[in-house]
Amino acid sequence: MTVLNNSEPITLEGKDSKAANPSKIDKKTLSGYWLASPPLFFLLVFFLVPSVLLLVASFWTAKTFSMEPAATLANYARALSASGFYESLWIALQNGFWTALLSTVISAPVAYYIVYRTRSNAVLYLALISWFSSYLVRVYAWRSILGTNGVINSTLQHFGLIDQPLEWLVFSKFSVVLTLVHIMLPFTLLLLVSGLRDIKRDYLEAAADLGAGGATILWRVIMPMAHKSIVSSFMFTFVLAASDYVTPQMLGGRDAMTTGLVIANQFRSVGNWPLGAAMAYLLLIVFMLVYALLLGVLRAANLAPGKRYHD
Amino acid sequence: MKKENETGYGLTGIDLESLSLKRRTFLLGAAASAAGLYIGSFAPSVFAATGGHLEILGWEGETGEAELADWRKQRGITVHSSYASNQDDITARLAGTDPVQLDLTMYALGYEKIYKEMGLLKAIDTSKIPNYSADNTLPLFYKGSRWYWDGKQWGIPLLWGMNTIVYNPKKVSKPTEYKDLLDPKLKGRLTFVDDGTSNWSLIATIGGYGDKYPNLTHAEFKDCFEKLKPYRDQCRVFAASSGDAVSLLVSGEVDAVFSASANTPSETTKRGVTTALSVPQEGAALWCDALFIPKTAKDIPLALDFINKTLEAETQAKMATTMFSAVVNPKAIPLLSAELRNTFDYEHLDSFFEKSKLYGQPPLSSDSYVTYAEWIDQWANFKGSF
Repeated sequence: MTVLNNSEPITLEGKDSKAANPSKIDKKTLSGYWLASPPLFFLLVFFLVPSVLLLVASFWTAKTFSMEPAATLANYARALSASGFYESLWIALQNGFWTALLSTVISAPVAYYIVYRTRSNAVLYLALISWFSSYLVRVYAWRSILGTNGVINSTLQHFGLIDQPLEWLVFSKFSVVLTLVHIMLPFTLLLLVSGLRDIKRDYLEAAADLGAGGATILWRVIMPMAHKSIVSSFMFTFVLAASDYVTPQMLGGRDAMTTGLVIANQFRSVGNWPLGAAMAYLLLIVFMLVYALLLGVLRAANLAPGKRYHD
Repeated sequence: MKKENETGYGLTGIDLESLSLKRRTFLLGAAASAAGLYIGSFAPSVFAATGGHLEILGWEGETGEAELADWRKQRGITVHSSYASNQDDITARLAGTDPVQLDLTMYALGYEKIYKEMGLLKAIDTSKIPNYSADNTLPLFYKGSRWYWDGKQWGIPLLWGMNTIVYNPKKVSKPTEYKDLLDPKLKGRLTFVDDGTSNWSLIATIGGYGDKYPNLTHAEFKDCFEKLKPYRDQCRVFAASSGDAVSLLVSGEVDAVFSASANTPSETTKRGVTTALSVPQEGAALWCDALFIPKTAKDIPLALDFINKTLEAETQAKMATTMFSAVVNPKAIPLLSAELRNTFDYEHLDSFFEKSKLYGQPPLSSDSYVTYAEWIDQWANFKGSF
């Protein structure tokens, strides 16, 4: 903008200056690039480059723990023709889906309470306390709680509520999902709290003033505006839970072989990295399809309008 | 300076009260002292006859951390030990174009052929290992085909042991053959340790192909896993490791393990639960860990010295006690506890080895026989019931 007065025209800095001189990057933008460059560099070097190398390796062949450069689809064909791959994938997807769904659904009201009902972060901190213990400690703890002679069965038997231990409590899908929800819940809660904090209370009050009830506010205001954090908390949890193989191995019982373990075996025991890489990328494709499906469902329900509601 | 009779310091004739230490003198003296100390550190110690450093990768308990501590200190030797959780850890470090520098590592029985094919082994000069002799080594472990071929020594057996049935005697009666594990009382109470290589020989034995293992045809291989299915039906969970098997026995989730390490009963006893070993009529799965010098070794003379030390009777006895395993040096047997001596039946070793054989590993590649990778895949399919 140029202000004219009796003296020389004064040109103000900012967007107008950029418009007048589009090639000039202002300090604010430049400082943003500088701040983002370390994590971007880290991701480039320690994520993108290794991922590309792994993708390339998926087209190679392996012999006696050594990889041989090639350009073959044999690894993909072998993975896709193995019934075990599909069955383990199905188990992994079920673990991922139920863990993500339950974690997101349980976290949602807690996130609402933290953001809109209280000024204290005490509840948030309580939820995060579980991060102070190691992953394996929590897995073994659940095994002790749910076990045949564990806390729950012992208590129920002590009070005469059951005669025999409830065997389905442990080494079952139930114990796997329960443990994974316990592990993943803080992640979903943090992401949802972060998303809800961007939704100003004014919008909720305005909706209430216009006659919207609680359910309408949730469905028509909160969820559309927070859909990105809902999607990210669901997918983040889904990917972690579906890839996990330690919890299924420790608590899933006999029928808990997941794709993660199949892939790990290729790297650790067989030394067939190309086949493991191919399986990993097939799993990645499946995860992307799940993401696309989730977005499609939310759009169909008018919960992912694709708009940006806040700065 | 005062006269002697005035100072009272007698014979020295030096009056300390009148001495003054100039700054330059002090600095020169301090510099000389420091230089002397620094140069002196390069002088070989009377007690450090050789010094040197070894990089060792092996099983925890078999790298001589405690057993050889005094010897290392006496010789001024430093050792950096890393622990492998399974043989594949060792393979992964040595395979490929950029192997890790190691002076000494180990192979489990059966991996000698794999490592020979991969070119990972260096020939061992046994003249530098006087403790590895016919007098100091049980016959089965002295220059056997697993460690000696093409006229050269490639591995030195260190310790051996067995994996066999472990059961809770308060819950089940002692199994005398593997079929006893199919008892309906054990439905949902049996587990396998997820260690394919220690189970495979038994899988072949149960299938009736024990004499042919590790070289099974595809038809025999398929038959073995068909016959193994009923055992899977007895399982509720697969133990992730030997330690997990101990945990399952102690918590009462299982009453028997298809094949567990011989030290499992001592581990469960520490946690208040009594379990016992049973070597069924089909035999146990034997293991034997051998030291070898990998292609990336730097200080080979020191590595040979280290190997020699591990084969001394006293060291063998200490290591075997730590690992609850068996010794290769017969002179170590009297130094073992009664429990250890009885477990491995040293008095009847010939018949013991007749029943329980030292098996190898399936071939890495073959047109006729099932390969190592195929065993891994099938074991994964067996666990997943795919």
